[in-house]
Amino acid sequence: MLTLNDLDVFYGDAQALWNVTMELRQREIVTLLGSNGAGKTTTLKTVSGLLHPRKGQIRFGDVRLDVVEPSKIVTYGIAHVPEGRKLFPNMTVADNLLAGAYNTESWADRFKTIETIFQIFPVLQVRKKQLAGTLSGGEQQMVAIGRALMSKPSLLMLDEPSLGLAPKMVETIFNVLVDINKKGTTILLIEQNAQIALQIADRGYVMETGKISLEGKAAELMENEHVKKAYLGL
Amino acid sequence: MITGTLVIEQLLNGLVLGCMYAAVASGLTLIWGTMKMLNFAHGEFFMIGGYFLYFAVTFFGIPPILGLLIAVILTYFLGVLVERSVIHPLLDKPGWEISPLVVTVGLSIFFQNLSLKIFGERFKSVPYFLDGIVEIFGIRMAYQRIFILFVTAVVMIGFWVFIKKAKFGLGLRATAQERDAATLIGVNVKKIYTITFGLSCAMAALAAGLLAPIFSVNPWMGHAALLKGFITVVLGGLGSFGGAILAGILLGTIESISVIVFSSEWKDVVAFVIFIIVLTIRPSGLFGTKEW
Repeated sequence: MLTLNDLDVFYGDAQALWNVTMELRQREIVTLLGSNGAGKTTTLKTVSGLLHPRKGQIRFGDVRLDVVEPSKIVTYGIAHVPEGRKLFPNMTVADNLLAGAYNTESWADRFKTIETIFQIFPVLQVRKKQLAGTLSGGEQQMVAIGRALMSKPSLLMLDEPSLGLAPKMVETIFNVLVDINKKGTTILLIEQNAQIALQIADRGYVMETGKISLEGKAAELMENEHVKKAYLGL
Repeated sequence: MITGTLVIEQLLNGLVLGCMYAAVASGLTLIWGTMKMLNFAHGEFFMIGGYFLYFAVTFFGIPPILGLLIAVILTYFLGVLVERSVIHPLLDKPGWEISPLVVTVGLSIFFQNLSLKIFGERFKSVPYFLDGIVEIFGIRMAYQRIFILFVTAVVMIGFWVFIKKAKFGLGLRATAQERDAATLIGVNVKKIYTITFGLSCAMAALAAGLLAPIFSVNPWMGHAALLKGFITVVLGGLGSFGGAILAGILLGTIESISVIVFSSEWKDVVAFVIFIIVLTIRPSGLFGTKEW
């Protein structure tokens, strides 16, 4: 469904990614692991069009994604939940969610779609008139995911959704992700919390200093000595 | 002699003046809030708007109200042209804090001298849109000024509703609050920037056109507009559309009333004193950085 082929990405003159090659198949949950600064967010941003590769290609189905205008990428069915949530702080929860349907066919039935989001995250219905900037971390994460779901994506990309959240909240959110995946959405998950990511993923990649260092089925990675020592603290 | 009638008339004049400050200021604050830049050529778009009106009325014999509409539309497109050609290349390059300031100061100088060259230094007059004065309960008010109040109110309220309700307004607010996330949900940020810049210039042109019959047009009229515009913006809080409107009306009203107490040469002093007082007590302006 999504292939990244031999990507080189730079920030100005500083190279951040070297020869990154990854693929996602339909309905999979794939996780990209790695420590801070490894290049995971850079990879996601390149798929979303916020960054452009200097070398290599990104394909989504039979569309070449790296040449598409960034604001159009969501229309292909790709939704990105960014690092740090990046909600619109001075809009209400409801407006943040509705904004998620901005540039897609889902704009027309956004009021129906928002009801399904409220079913997934009931607490958001309670808080719907509250300004997004005043929510707790966990609630903000729900809004961020909800906003992405409003465009009815076929591929959902999440950047460190567990960051700063209490374990109970992480569990809630990851259960939601499993559910969304069961209903047909492919998920690309970036996480520092390798433990929980590998629990729900089918396959994973490990990134270190801008390069893919390992890949394999989630179960294999969990048994991998290097992964155990470096990322699972075992 | 200070009579109640005089005070009320001055208050109404102040309201008119205040609407003009509000119109100029809201254009500036719109650009700041959305693009995070200050447009030092804003006064010149004000001036150019005034000249478009003068040109339309004097050389093409177009009726003033239609001329005003044409001037606003033409200035919008000029703003779009300037944004695409001069501002756009600076976006996302290092130095964004300074580069638009420098460029717009340059534009300001360019436009002032261009006008001077084309139109000459003499003040040009533009006919009133509506002649005549109405008198209610002994209070006299020119139709022109009532017209100004009416048009400004309609435009400002319309714009406010547009920002809050229309899809483009949502895109604008999204861009202003969190630009990357806006791109991710499908907002074409570059288009928003261009249109916002154009709208801001159009608003300046509207203010100039409405005032032109009263104050006439000249190549330097933008200077005073910019100055008062910036004071109003900072007074209301940088980035606050509602703040700009309220601050504008407040400033205009206080200035006009003070003309009764002091003489008219002192009204600018009054404006600056208020400015200094408000900033000392409340540095972020009346409405801080509250967004739209």
